[in-house]
Amino acid sequence: MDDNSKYKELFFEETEEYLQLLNDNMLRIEQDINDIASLEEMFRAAHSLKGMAATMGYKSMTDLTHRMESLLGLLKSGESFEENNIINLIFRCLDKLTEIVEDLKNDKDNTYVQDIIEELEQVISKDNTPKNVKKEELEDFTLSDTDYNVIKSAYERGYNAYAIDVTVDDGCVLKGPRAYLVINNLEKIGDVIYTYPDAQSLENGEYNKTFRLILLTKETIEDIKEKIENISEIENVEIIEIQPNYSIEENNSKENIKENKKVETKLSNNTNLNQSIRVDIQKLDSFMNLVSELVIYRTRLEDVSKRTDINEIDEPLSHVARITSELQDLVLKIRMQPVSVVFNRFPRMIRDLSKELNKKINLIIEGEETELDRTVVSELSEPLIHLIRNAADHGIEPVETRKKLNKPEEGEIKLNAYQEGNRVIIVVSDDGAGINTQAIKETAERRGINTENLTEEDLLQLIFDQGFSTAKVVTDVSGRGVGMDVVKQKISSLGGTIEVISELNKGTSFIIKLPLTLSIIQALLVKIGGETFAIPLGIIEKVVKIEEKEILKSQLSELYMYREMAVPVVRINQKLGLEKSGENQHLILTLLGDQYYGLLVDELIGQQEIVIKKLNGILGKMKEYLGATILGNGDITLILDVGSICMRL
Amino acid sequence: MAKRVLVVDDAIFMRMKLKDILEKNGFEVVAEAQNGIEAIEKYKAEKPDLVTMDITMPEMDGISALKEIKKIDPNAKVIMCSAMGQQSMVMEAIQSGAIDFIVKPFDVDRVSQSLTKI
Repeated sequence: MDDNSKYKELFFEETEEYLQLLNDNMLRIEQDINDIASLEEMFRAAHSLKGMAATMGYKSMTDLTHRMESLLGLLKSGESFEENNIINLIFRCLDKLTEIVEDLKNDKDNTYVQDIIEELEQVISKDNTPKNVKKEELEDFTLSDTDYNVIKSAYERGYNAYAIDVTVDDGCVLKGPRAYLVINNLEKIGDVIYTYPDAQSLENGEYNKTFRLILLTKETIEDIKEKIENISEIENVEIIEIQPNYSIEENNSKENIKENKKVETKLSNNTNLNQSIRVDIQKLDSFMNLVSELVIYRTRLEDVSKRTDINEIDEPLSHVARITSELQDLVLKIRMQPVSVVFNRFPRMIRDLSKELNKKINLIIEGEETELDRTVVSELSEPLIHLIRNAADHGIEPVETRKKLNKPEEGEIKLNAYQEGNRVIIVVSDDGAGINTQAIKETAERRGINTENLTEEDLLQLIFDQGFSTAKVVTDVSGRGVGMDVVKQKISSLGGTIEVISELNKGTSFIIKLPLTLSIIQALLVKIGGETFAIPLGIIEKVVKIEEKEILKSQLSELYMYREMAVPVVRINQKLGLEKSGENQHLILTLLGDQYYGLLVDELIGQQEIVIKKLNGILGKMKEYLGATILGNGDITLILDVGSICMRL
Repeated sequence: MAKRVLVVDDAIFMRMKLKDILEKNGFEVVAEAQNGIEAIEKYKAEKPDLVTMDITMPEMDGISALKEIKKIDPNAKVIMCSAMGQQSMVMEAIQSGAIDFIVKPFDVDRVSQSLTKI
C-alpha cells in the first residue's frame, strides 16, 4: 500500500462535507421520498465517499458506502421500498458512517459494520439478484461455415484473418468494459467477426480471464498486438493467423457485434463559478499572528516617530498604518465562519430527538449566515447541542400535555443568530413548559441553599450552578445534572455571557452573547505586584478606587458593598503568588454571568487595544492567563483570564 | 517533454491522489476540474495531452464532458475513471471515444501502467 497518510486530513475534511450533504438531503427525502434531485445528490456523495475510502484502504467504510450507493441507486431508479424502514435504515447508515469516520480518525479501522451491511444486502437483493458469472473454460472453438465464408471473401479482398486470445489481469474489476474496449479498438482497424464467449456475455464480463475473437484486417500482427496492449490491465495477447483452407459459396453478411446501451445523462446549467481555495487552518493562524505582530511594531514605530518628531517618517508611516489595519480587517474576515457550520447539524438532531422522545418538534433556524471567528464557532457546538437537547427533552411537552394546554401539537424550538455591534447574539428558545422556579426552589432547599430572599429571576440563575438538575427522570437525552454549569463555563471561556428567561407554560429562552473575534480586544492595563497585566475590557463593569478599610471581612471571604450587593473581593496578587505593592489600590468590578466579582489591583495604567497571542507549552496550561500580548513599547504582558480566576475562589 | 494532463474529479481527495500518481510517473498536471463544465473550459484553455475523467460528478457528468471535448478536439485523449458497478457507463464512454479507463480504488501500479501505455 502506498503512503496515504498525508491525505488524511484532506480526506476527513472532505468526508465530513459529504456526510453533512448526505444528512441534509436525507432530511429532504424524508419529507418527500420522490425528491429525485436530493437522491441524485446523495447517490453521488455516497459514490465519491466510496472511491475515497477505497483509495485510503478503509475497508469497512468502503463496504458500507458501496452498499449505500447501490441502495440509493435503486431508490433513484424508482424502485419502491417500504418507506419508513428504508429511511431509517439510511439514517442508521449515516450514523454508522460517522462512527466509522471517528474511529478512523483514531486510526482504528475495525468498526463493526457486518450487521448493517447484511441488512442493506437484504434490502438490495430483494430487487437485484446477483448475476452468476459463467465459469466456462475457454475451449477450442470451431467456426461455422458462414464465418469461414466471410473470412474467405475478406481474404480475397486483401484482408487477413487472425484469431486473437486476450487475457486480462487477475485484478481486473470491470471485465466487461475491458473486453469491450479491446473490441472497440480492434474495430478501428478491421472487423471483429466472431467472439467467444458471445458479445453479450463479454460485455457483461462473463468470462474467466481469457476471451477469443477473430479479426479481419489489413494490419500486421505487430500492429494488432500494439493496439491491444495499449489498453491497461491486459496480461497477454496471442495472435494466430487463420488461413482460409476451403472455399464455400460467397456470403456477404457481416455481423456487427455492437450493442449499445444508452445511458441518460443530465446537464444542469447552474454552474457554480464561485472560486475558493482551501487553506490549512494553521497557516491562517500564523498569518493572523504575523499581522498582529505587524500591528504591534507599527504602534512602536508610531511611538518612536512621535517622540523623535521626524516629519519624513510621518507620511509613509500613516500609509503603513492604513495598510496594516486593512490587513488586520481582512485576516479577521478570512477567519470568520458562518454559524451554519454548527447549526447545520441540528435539523438531524431534532429529527432523532423527536423520534426518541416521541414528541413533535419543529426546528426553526434563523440567521445561520451570521459570522463569527472560527475558534468561537467550533467551540459553540457543544453548548448549543446541550441547550437544544434540553429544550427538546425538558422544554417541549409531550403531545398529550400540549393538547391539554391548548398549545399546537407541534412544539417549536427556535435558533436565532444575529450581530449586534461587535457582539453576536445567539438565542435558543422553545415554546415548551418553561422552567418551574418552584421546583428549583425545592431542589435548592434540599441541597441546603437558602432561597428565602431570592426572586424568581435569582432562582432561574441557579440552573447554571454545578450539579443542579430539576429533572425528576433522568433520560438518555439530558438531565444528568451535569450540563448547564458546563455550558456557562464554555461560553465564558469564549468571552461571552449567557442569560435565561423563562415563563411557566410559555417557554424558555437562552440568550448567548459572544464577541465577534477573540484575537484583538480592548484591554485595561493594570499593575499587580509590580508586574503589568492586561484585563479584557469587555467584562469590566466599573472600576473604583478603594481603601483597605472598605473591604469587609466575613468568616470565609472578603466582601465589598457595591450598590447594596456584597461582592466577593479577589486579591489577584495572592492568586498569582505575587507581593503586594503600592497603596493606590483599585477594585475592578466584573460581571461574570450574573455574579459580580471585585478584582483588587495595585495600580491602573490605561486602556489599549491588544492582540491576544496564545501561550504554548507549560504556560499555555496555566488557567490564569488567556494569553500574552506585546505592548507598544515592546514589553510582553500576560492577559488575565478573569473568569477562571474568579471561578476558583 | 512531460505530457500535460488535466485531472477531472469532483472529490479533491481523488484529484490529489491522481495528481500524485501522475507526477510520480513524469506527467505534468496542468489543470484540475471538479465537474464536466469546468473540464471543458479547462480543456479549451490548456489543450492538455491527456485527460483523466471521473464519471459521476455534479453539474455535468464525465460522459457528457467527454462527448463535448471530443467535439472540440476529435483527437482528445481521455481516460475514464470509474468505480465498480458502472459497466454500462464505461461502455458508453468507450463508444464516445475514451481511450482507456481505470477503476477506483486506484492502484498505483495499475494507473501508471495504464498511463505509460498512452
